[in-house]
Amino acid sequence: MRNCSRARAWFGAYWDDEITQAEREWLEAHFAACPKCRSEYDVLARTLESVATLPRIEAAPDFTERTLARVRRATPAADRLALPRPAWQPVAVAASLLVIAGTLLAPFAGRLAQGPIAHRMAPPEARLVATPAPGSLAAREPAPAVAPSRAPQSQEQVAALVDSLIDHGEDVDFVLDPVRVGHERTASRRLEPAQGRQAVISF
Amino acid sequence: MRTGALRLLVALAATLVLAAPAARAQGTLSALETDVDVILATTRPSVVTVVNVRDLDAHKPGAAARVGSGVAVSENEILTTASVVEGARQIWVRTSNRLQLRAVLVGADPIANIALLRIPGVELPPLRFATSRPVRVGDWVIAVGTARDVHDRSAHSLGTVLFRHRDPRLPLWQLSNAVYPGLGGAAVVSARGELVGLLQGELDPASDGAGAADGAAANASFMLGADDLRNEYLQLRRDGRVRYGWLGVTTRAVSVASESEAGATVPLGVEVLEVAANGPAARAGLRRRDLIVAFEGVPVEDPMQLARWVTASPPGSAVRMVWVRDDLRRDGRPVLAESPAAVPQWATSVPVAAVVPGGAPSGTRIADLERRIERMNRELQRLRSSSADGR
Repeated sequence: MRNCSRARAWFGAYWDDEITQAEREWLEAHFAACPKCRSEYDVLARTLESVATLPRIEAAPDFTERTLARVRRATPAADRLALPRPAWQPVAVAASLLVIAGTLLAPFAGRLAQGPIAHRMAPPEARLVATPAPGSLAAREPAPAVAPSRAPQSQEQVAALVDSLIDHGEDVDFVLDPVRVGHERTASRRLEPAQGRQAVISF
Repeated sequence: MRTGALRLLVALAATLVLAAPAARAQGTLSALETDVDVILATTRPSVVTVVNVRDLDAHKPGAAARVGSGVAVSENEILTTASVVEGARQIWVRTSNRLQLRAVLVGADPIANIALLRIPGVELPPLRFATSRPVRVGDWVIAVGTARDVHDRSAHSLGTVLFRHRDPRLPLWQLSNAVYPGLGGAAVVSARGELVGLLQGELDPASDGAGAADGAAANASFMLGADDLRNEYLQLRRDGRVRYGWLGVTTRAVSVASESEAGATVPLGVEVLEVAANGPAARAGLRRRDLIVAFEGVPVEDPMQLARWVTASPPGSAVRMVWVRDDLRRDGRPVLAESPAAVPQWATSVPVAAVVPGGAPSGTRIADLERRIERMNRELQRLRSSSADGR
């Protein structure tokens, strides 16, 4: 058993012809005595041979240069005006100051995050606090005298109907009122048809 | 030690000065885009779609249902326009996270075109009224609401505040925002994400006023500002209605043909046809055949406009009015009474010509004739085309 594991450790070097004459002789003697190692080596050799037959992809000669150029383009473009770049010294000073300030302010950072910034990240959404009793709502409005054929029976059906009204309603009017503008920079919602200006009204 | 600290300070100041332009490298436009995204993300949950279910068996456009926008101003209260909920049998509200809720109409004011809805059992994220900094001309604003022609029915539009109209009551702000059907009742928010107004509508194409001359006709939209909106909200919440002023007059428009523009008319004012006995107008000295020309320092052009201003004035308030009698200027300060009607008749639908002593005014007759001529023309055209097909 010890011989087998020793033999397997040399498989790679044997394939590459990178072992000594003594090692080669020992391994070949082992192959003659151990059919298991022999067949294992055959599998390895066949695999390596078939991999070697695969077509090789050659990189274009200007590959390196093009890649570097792309990386440079990907960095944000500066403003249109060429501005003087800050010298490294003040930048280093500012960076170290920022680190110091950050260390000092770290204990307060958590408190800040809970403020308006956190509010921005996840705006609150509408939510139900109690299921309104359907009966109490329906009771407030007079029931139609004749039940219309398209009228839905349950609250769920009405909800589905509301969706369909918003999304596919041909007989639905999307509201945007016309506003009439006067000569003297006055404006109000148009409440009457065209002849309304001549109409007689009391107020 | 001292010079060391001084050097450090100088270096720090230099860094700040030099680093400032680098921080702007993101570009102004993309920064604007980011800001708009942030405002929308915070505003959107407060904006709802309002569905006014009228008659589901009706197959005429708008007869079955009306859809508009609304905005939450408290946990369970929504402001929208009165025209969105007009004639509703049921009102449903859909939130941005697709909750569908039945709403109760608390009250509506057709004069200011504002309605207040309440939804029991819900917690909405309300928008704050812009009280810290009132809206000004030139401010950037975003209209957020529902629109028919937009993906997912969720629309927003960026623009600026152009100017405030001169109406002495309920003045509208003109905006440059592009608007679409369905944005009636949409929230108009400032760059701070505060509610600066409620979207009312778009420029009436038939408007013969100064809209086009202002060069703003292409994208003219209108909002009621936050101050008036808040006042409406408080009154509707407290009383379920708004108390209207009443002058006690019956009027019609008077205009003359324009000399510079053929076919155009120049409004002169509003003629008093009748004065209610012992009403505010009668007590202030207004008489039949007087021509009212100004209200609170603003020229009066037509009866609807004057009626809107009078009605929107609180009962008991004294209003400055100017009128002409026998070519002489007169003025007075009638103290308005409270309107007997919950909703003034002139604001409900097409005004019906009142019975006026001395016969109907010529204006109504002309309009009637014009309509009949138009109808006959259409009939004639139809006959011509059908006879051409028969040949």
